[in-house]
This record gives sequence, structure tokens and C-alpha cells, in this order.
Amino acid sequence: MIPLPYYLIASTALLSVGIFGVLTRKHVIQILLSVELILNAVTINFVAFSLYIIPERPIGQVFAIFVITFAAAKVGVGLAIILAIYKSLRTANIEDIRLLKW
Amino acid sequence: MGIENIVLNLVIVIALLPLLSFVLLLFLGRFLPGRGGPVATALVGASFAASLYVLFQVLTRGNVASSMVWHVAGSARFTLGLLVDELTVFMLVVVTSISFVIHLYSIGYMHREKRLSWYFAVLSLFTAAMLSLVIADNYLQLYISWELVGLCSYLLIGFWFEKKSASDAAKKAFIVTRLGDVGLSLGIILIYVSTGSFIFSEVFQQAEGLSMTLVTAITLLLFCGAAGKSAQFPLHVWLPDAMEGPTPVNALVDAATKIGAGVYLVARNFPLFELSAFSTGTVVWIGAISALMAATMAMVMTDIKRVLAYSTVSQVGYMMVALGTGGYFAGIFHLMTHAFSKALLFLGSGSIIQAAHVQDITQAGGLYRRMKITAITFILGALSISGLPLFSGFWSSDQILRDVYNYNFIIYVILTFTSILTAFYMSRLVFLTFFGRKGDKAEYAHESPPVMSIPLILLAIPTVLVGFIGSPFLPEAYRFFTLFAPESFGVRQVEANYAVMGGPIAADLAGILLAYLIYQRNLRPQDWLARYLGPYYKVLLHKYYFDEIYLFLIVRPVLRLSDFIGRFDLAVIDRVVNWVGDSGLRFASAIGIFDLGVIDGIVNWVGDTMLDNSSRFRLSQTGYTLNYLLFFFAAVALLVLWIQFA
Repeated sequence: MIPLPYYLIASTALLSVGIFGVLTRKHVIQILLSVELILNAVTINFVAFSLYIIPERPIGQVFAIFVITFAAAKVGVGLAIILAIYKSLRTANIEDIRLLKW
Repeated sequence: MGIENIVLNLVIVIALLPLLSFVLLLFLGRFLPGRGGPVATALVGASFAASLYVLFQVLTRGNVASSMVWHVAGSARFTLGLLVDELTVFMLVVVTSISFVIHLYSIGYMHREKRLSWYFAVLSLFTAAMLSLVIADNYLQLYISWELVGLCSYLLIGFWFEKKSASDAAKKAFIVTRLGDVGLSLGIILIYVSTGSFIFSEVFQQAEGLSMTLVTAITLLLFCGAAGKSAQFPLHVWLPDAMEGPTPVNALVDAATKIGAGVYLVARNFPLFELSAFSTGTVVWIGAISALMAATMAMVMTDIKRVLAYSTVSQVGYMMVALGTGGYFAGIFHLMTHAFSKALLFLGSGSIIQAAHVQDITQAGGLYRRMKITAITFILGALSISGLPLFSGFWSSDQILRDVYNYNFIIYVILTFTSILTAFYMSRLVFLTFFGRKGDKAEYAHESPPVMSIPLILLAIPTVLVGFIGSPFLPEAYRFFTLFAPESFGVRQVEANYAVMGGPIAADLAGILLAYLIYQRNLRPQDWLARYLGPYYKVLLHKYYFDEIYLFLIVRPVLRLSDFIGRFDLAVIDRVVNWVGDSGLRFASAIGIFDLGVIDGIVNWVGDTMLDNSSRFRLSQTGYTLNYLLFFFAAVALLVLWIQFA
């Protein structure tokens, strides 16, 4: 059986890649993809901890399914927002979208 | 539901029907047929029918004196209740029957009035107030209705308030009665303080334990109220002036409602009065003085309604004498016979006034041929009031005199002498109005329409017949009548006393004969009375100078006092108030300056500082999403570190 730290290292790496992507990418779709990576890191953690702490009850796996479902829904909403923004601003570049400024 | 409950509920309905009529006419009177008159009449008529049913229930079932609590307000002693005993049903029937007839009559008499709905509304309210007065089982409720009666009489006497004399008369009636009411309210307070209860039966039970002085004080105070409402000496001055009101109103006031209220109050509190010889003595003497004095004034009055008004004062004096001498049901019997006769007389005089447009009997004359129904019914009423044998007034006054004869001979003599006067002024009225020289107005006079003459006939029937239930010659009827008197009060001397009966009969005949000789046969000149009485005649014409004395002793000083107080008010109170106002203003302007400088300064400084600082802080809002994300992740990282190491 693969020891727990391996999983954790893998998920941490995935998380880091995701955060890096979110902070550095300019295109909104790319940021959305990076967020997906972060979510996947979390999912790995759920499954790994569940396996090692309470192997007899698949709680972590259930959570993982919830997260995946949630991610799908979130992407739906996110893409809709991006489409709406693109329609009105004619751009999907995060640096050109400054609607939140005072 | 037992029969008693039915009776009690029915009694409530009896009192509520006229009230319903009041509300209905007040809001919808304009839209009702005949502007509400027939509706009001029908409702009061229904009330009368229900009263008759209640009367027979109460009489056939013996003692039904019972009360029920409507609800309790505040502490437990304040209850509303009903007391349906013999006296109550008696009053219910008298009040509703007379009120019904007067409503009917008013449809004809008042039909030209502008405020007809208002008239009928208040007439119904008057009836409702009187009915609720007689069904009350405690002093508080009685007092409320009592004041309502006073208010309604004010409104109705002043019905033609555009006329100065009418509005003055209304005010006089209200204020003079109010003098008596002060006594009544004090009496009720005294009752509550000494017995801790407002309920009649409880008060009467405890009354024997009270000291003599206390009972005397209470009863005298109560009698003050009764004397005011029933227009007894020296508070009788309002009743003649009340003749400024519409004639049917006078009939209602004099026969059934306001005048009856005072007599009812004494009768209701008979157990209290019985305990104090001094109080009953006062009642007797006041009654006797009122009877004699009013009769003397009635002799010289020339206004037909004023004669009747003084006659009322005089007859109520009889009732008071009866109650004071312990003749409980002689008193209420006379109340009933007088009520029918006097209502008849007033309605008859209304018929005359409308037909001949004359109120002064020296201007009238020869009306008999023109209006036979009015004349005959009027004569029947006059004979009944005079106390001629077989008429109802005879039986009741006979009973009173029988009681008085055993009580005090002087009073008996006074009342017998009053009988002469009564017969005289009543005959004078009849002779001058209906017979003798034809007045100018008689030419065009005509009989009143049926809506007015039928009420006269309706009233003439009890005027003649109702006395027989109190006749000592008809023992069966008499036994029926004695059901009205609670056993504890005792039924006195059932058999006739011919010696007592003879005096008043002779007196009546003498009075009628005298009037006949003067005013019909002209054996003496018309002003014989004036010449014969000399200066006393002048005193009578001025009504014993009561109005002048009151003007001098009470009205003028009160006016002068209020004038003085008014000036004091302007000179002192106003000046103080103005000074307070001015200094307030000055103080306020000083405060205003402080407010502008200091308070506003602080508030503005706080606001400005806030604005300054926040304009700096908002620069951190760049609008770059990535910036926010960076902050977010940095914060999460810091949080993780903090959890790890703290």
C-alpha cells in the first residue's frame, strides 16, 4: 500500500500548480482550469485520508463525488459568467476586466 | 333555557329595541320611509308588546326578582345586572306604552320638521335611557341611565334651538336638574363607602346595620336627585320653561320618562327611606308643598302647556307624599294613572295648538264644535287629573289620601285643598278652551288627522279604565293589583273609607262648580280671580318670584364671580404664561447658538475625518481580480502558518 505522505505530496504539488496557474494566467478560462486543479488536489486529500483513517467507511469517497459534482456545477456557472462578460466587454483577459474597482 | 332566562333576555331586548331605533335613525334616518318615524314607532311598539309579555310572566310566576351578571369590570364589585321585579315590569309597561303612543302621535305632529330623523332618534334614545334606568340592579348603572335621561331631555327641550327661549329652557332644565344630580352622586358615593356595594339588594340588606344619621344623609341626598328630576320644590323651576320644547316631548317628559325617574328612584329606594323618619318626613313635606304651590300657580297661568306643567309638579307632589307616608304602591299607582292622563292632556293640547295655532287659553274658546275627538279625550283626561270619581285619577289619589289620613291630618287638609285647586284649574282650562266665547282662531280650527287623534283615543282608554285595578270596590282586580307591591311593604287597608273619600269628591265638585260659574256662566267677571286674590295674584303670576330669587341669589353672583375670575385670568394668569413663554424663547435662542457652534462642530469633524481616511483606504481596491486572489492566497497561507505555530 502506498504510504499516506505520497498522496499528500502529490496533492500538494497539484495544489501549488493550481495556485500558480490562477495567479499567473491571464485568460479567464485558464484560471478556471487552474481552479479545477485545486479542487482535484482537495479531492485526493479526501480520498487519501479516508483510506488511512477510517478504511471501513467510504466517507472521503462520498465527499470526493460531491466535490466533483460541485465542480461541474461551478464550471457551468463560471462559463456562463465568462460568456456574459465577453459579450459586454469583448475580452476574456483578466487584466482588462476591472469592474470591481471602486 | 328556563322561563326566567327568557324573561331576562326579553328585558334586555325591550331596552335595546329603542336603542336600535336610535342608531338606525341616526345613520340611516334619511333613507327610511317617513324619514324614520314609522320605523321608530314600530320598534318601540315591539318593545311595548314584549313588556306586556314580561309583565304577565312576572305577575303569574310570583316572585321573579332576580338578577344576572353581564360582566365584571375591574374589581369584582363593579357589575352590570338586571333586576326584574314588580316595580320594574310596572315601569316597563308604563314607559313603553306611553312612549309608543307618543311616537305614533309625533309622526303627525312633527312631520313638517327639518330634523325629523334626529327628533325621532333622540325620542327613542330617551325611551331607551328610561328603560335601562328601571332595569338596572345597581346604583352605578342607574346613575348612567339617569344622566342619559337628563341629556336626552336637554336635546329634546332644546329641539327648536334656533329660538333663544328654547335653548335657554334646555340649559335651564339641564342645569337645575344637575343641582339635584350632584346630591344623587354624593348619595351613591356615600352608599358605596358605607356598604361597599352598588347592588340594590346588598345595600338594602346592610342598610339596617348603618347608623341613623348615615341612612338619613343617604336618603336625603338621593331625594335631592329625585326632586331635581321630578321637578319638586325648590327645583321645579325648569319644568314650566321646558314647555318651549315640542309638545310630544313634554308629554314624554312629564308622563313617562324624566318625571317618572325621580319617583322611581324614591320607590326603588323605599327600603332605605323607610328606615329614616326624618327623610320620609322631608319627602312628605316637600311633596305637599310642591303639590299646593304648583296648583296655585296653575290657577293663573294662561299658557295651556304651562298649566299642564304646573299640574304635573303638583301631581308628582302627591306621589312623593304617598311614598313618604309609606304608601308604596299608592305612589306608583298614581304615577301610572297620572302618566296616562297627563300624556293624553299634553297630546290633546298639541292637537289644539296645531289646529288653532293658539297656546293662550284666553285667546282660544269654542273649540269644542270644531274638534270633537280632541275635546272629549281632553275632558276625560282633565276629569281624571281632577280626581272625579270612577276616573283612574280618582282611585289613585283616593289611596294616597287614605294613607295620608292616617299619617298626618295637616297634610291631608293640604292635599284636599289642592284637590279643589286642581279641579278648578283643570275646569278653567276646559271651559276657556272648548266652550264659551268663540276665539278668533276657532273659525279655522279643524280636527287633527287620524295619526294624531288615534293616539288620543288610545290614551283615553287607560285614562278612564286603568284605575279600576286599584279600586277597593272590585276586590278581584284589586288583588291582581296588589301583586305589584312586594309583600314586605304591606298592602294597607283594602276596604273603602267613605269619610276620606268624601272630602276630595266634595272638593272636586266645588272646584269644578267654581270654574263653571266664572268661566262658563260668567256669573263673575273673568278677572274675578285677580281682583279676589289681590296682591297675591301678582305673586302667583310671577311664580312666587322663584326665577327672580334664583337670578338674584345664584345666577347673578355666579356670573359676577366668573366675570371676576375672567379678569383675574387675563391680568395674572395670562401674564405669567406669557412671561414663561418669553423666557423660554430667550433660553432657546442661547441654546441654539451653542448647538450650532459646539454640537454641530463635533458632528462635522467626525464626519470629515471619516471621509478623509476612507478615501485613502479605498486605493487598495485596484479592480484587478488577480490582486484580490493574491491577497486571498497570502491570507490563507498566513492563516495556516498561524495555526501551525500559535
